[in-house]
Amino acid sequence: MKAPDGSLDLLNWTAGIPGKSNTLWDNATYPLTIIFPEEYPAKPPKVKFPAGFYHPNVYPSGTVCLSILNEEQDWRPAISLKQILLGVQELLNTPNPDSPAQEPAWRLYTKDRVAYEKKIREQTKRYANPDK
Amino acid sequence: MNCKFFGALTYTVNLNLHIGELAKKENEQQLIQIRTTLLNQVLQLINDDTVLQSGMFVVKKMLSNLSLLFMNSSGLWSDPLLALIDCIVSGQVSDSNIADDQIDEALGRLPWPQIYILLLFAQILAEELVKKEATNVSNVQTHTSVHQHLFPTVQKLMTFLLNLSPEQKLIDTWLDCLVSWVGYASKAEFDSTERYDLTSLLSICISLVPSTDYAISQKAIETLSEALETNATFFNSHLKADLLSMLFGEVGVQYVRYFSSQQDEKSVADFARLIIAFLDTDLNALVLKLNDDENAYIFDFLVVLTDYPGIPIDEESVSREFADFWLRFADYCICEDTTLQTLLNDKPGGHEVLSEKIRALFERVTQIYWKKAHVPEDEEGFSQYKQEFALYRRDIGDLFESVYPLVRLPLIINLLMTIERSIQTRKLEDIEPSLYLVTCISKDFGDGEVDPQLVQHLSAILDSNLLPIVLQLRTDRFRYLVSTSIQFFSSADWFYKTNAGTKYLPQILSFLFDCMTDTNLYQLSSSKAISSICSQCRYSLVEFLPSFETIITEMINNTTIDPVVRQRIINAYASIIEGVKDPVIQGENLFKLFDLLDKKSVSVFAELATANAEEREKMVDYLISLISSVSAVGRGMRLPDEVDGYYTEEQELKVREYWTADPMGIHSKLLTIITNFTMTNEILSENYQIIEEAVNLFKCGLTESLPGPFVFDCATILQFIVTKFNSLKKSHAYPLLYSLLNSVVTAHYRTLDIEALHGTINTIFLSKLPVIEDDPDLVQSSLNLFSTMLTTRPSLLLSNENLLMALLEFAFRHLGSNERFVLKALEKFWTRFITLRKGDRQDTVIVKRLFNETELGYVLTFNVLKYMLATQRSNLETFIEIIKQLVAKYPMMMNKWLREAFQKLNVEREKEIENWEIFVKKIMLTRGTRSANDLIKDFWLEVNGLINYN
Repeated sequence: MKAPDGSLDLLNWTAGIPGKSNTLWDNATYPLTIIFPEEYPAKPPKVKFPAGFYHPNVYPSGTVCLSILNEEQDWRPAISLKQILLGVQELLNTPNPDSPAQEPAWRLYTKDRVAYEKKIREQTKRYANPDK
Repeated sequence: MNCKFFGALTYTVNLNLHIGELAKKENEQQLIQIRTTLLNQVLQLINDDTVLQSGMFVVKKMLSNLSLLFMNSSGLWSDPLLALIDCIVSGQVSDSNIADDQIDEALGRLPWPQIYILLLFAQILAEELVKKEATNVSNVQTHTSVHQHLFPTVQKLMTFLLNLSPEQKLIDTWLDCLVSWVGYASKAEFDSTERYDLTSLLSICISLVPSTDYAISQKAIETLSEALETNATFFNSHLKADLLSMLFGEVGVQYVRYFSSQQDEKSVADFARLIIAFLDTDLNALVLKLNDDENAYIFDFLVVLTDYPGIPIDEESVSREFADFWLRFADYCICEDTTLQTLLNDKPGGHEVLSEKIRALFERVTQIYWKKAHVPEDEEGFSQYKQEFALYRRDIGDLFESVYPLVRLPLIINLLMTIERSIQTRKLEDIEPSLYLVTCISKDFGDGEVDPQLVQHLSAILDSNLLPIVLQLRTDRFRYLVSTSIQFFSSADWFYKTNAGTKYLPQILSFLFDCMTDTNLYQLSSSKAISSICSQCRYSLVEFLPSFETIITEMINNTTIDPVVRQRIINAYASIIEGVKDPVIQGENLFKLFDLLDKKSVSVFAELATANAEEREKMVDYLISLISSVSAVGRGMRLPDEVDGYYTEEQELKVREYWTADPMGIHSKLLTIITNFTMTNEILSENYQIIEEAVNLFKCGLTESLPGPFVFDCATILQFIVTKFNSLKKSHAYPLLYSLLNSVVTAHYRTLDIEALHGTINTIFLSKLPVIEDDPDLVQSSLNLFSTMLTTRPSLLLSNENLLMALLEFAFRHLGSNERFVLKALEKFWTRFITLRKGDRQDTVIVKRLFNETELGYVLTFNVLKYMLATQRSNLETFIEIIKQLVAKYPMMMNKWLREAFQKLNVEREKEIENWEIFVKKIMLTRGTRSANDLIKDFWLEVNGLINYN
């Protein structure tokens, strides 16, 4: 991200996660912000989708719930940004039902897979890559 | 030959299997014996012509085995290459090593094929060393040994070979060997304190570039690129000076000229890769070179290479190699500007001159990439590399974004002027790339002031009829232009937010609507742009409301419209309505919208019963989309978080009065819609998504501080919950209703009518207990609701004794649950119940009495211990928290409860719990602090016979 003076703000990054090919998430790019704490890499960055992002492991605020991003779980300073992004990309299509972060998506994912997939398809359209 | 290979492979398997044992001191003799055997086998193989002609894979495997043996016996075997040279020269395996000064002479006596084997061995050794794992003591020993003994021999062998001007195959292997040793040396420098001097070998490699044999030249270029990319520190200043004069001198020019004439673009791209790898080693030096006109030839050469002829991706990849480089260079110039300023301190005006030269250089570079950003016209061929080209264009966009702070306004103005000119001269193909690049640069302009010149130029473009022209060109050939225009207007809020820009909003929205309705191709992107513009510029679009009516009618009536598009457009409409501060206009427009939606949905309800399965599914999807749109309007209509100052006092009063009176009957209209969707139709009334949207709709107004279209009184919402609950045949949607009640409690706990609340809980909890008990989801949702009551206003729960007793029993029973989320909900419930932070005096008396005068404390302690000792480790946290709160809040009683509970547990359990008395003493000493965590964990491990490995 750029600071108001045009310089780069190194602690706040924006990124896009392309949905994996041949999955429900394909053909769209999901916007992401990566917020690095001052203590990085001793502490993990916070990775956020837009608020209200529909996924069982994304909190209502948009924060991604992933063990490698949790200081008390699997975070290690050697984990690279590439690994984080690939981890988040992988998480999109393979949610972890044991670690629910939001009620609606988690409930539908565990109870009614067809309805869940319908919701995901709708979300994919929201973040669809430009039509060309 | 296959048989020989399997023999070699068997050695590999066994070496890997037993290498740990063999490496021990006591097995030294065995190790030497195996080495002798392997060397003998290699000698036999390389003296066999058949093997040399068609079995080199066997030889390679055996050389790899020798490497493996060497790496695991470094103390005993210091130089395997010298050992092999010795064997080959003497024709037998011997212990004596050739003296250093005799190596050249010995090598001179060997035929090429055998020298080739030695070179191959040197390469394999380096590769195997790189593969070796981790940095332990033995690795450090290996690195030391390699540096002291093996590498000098490798260097001698390699230097000797190249002095004899051998054949192409040998040079190829020599260069591969060099790459492997650069890789190993780099790793060794990272893992140990050894430092390598590869100057002489790299110098030989550089000397191969000007070879008259272009194949050798090409291979040397590839090798140098890899070496630079692996570890540029191996290139000292002399080598760098050599490279510089060669790359940018006659050799480089000739090389590029030759391969260009041969139309061998790949070789030129490889050369570009080497130049980039070289320049990347010292970008600072490169920037400073700009200051001296004598170096202009370097930049001219780079610019010419960047402008390599041909269609990018399809015909050339040189410009792609350079796009990334220029981006890094631009970023370097921006980030290191202060450093450059300091460096040029002694030259008055030096920094300004340099900045100007940087700007001029990037103007040239961006002109090239503007040309390269044109989408190729050859439709059929283009489809083959469309994706790759899109990535290339994205890189160009990133480059322009990075260059913008250096070139500043002229960069974007140039692009805008190009568009203006192209419209006038009808050079339409130049519009798209220019607009694309303007989008890349301006998308992050944000809310700050933009230069008036930009607004002026964009206004001029719109005045020259850009949008009608784009609409006319909606053919396949120009579909990129349409798409890029949509993208641009989607992100040009910096323009709309100016006074001059606002007047173009109707024109732009009209263009976007045309794009959206004309074909399905641009529906998603144009609806997104409309939604974004309406949200950003809601206050400027009030006059546009009537024009929306037709399109909204179409959105609601046309069942084939994509639900996402429908929601976006209705949302856009709602954004503008929200922007109107006059509630009368808001009410009128909302009524029109909801009335239309209500009528349309009723007509579809009527058709549902007679539709076939396929049609019915489509209809249900359509109806879900309609009700989602209503709740989306609710979200869009929410007042801003900081409502103070949003309305004047007079406006606020008007809003209060209007929505309390609700003259248009919006509330009743919404309730009708909700009832129609959720209660009257059998097909829809059990639909989870429809109930979810109805719940969302009620939630929209819960936190509003002023009356509004979506603000309902609590009684209405409780009534909905009860009625809906009673009408549900299945329990799947119960959690939605619990969650709605949870939100009502959170928002209105102070004013909530307790009797009405208890009536609701009676319906949705007490009367359905058997159903709830069977479904962990319902257990979790209901517990969350009660936890919220305890957190906000405990008397909501504590004042109803029947409910409380039933709930406490319920909460005991589920401590045995295996579901983590149920246990988490229980943790929340019990810890809140024990601590009772928000309770008033009466609440505290009730809870204390329950703990002090009834069996509650003991029963809870007993159940917590019982289920905790049986649970899995990952669930321990829940029980630990409850115990900690009990210890902290009821220290005297807890000691007794714990003792009684353990005694009873020991009667019930097959295996007696030992040392519980000590545990009780220790846990009481913690007073419920964090130190209790480890204590309880250790006790759990002990009781379950497990060991703590942490």
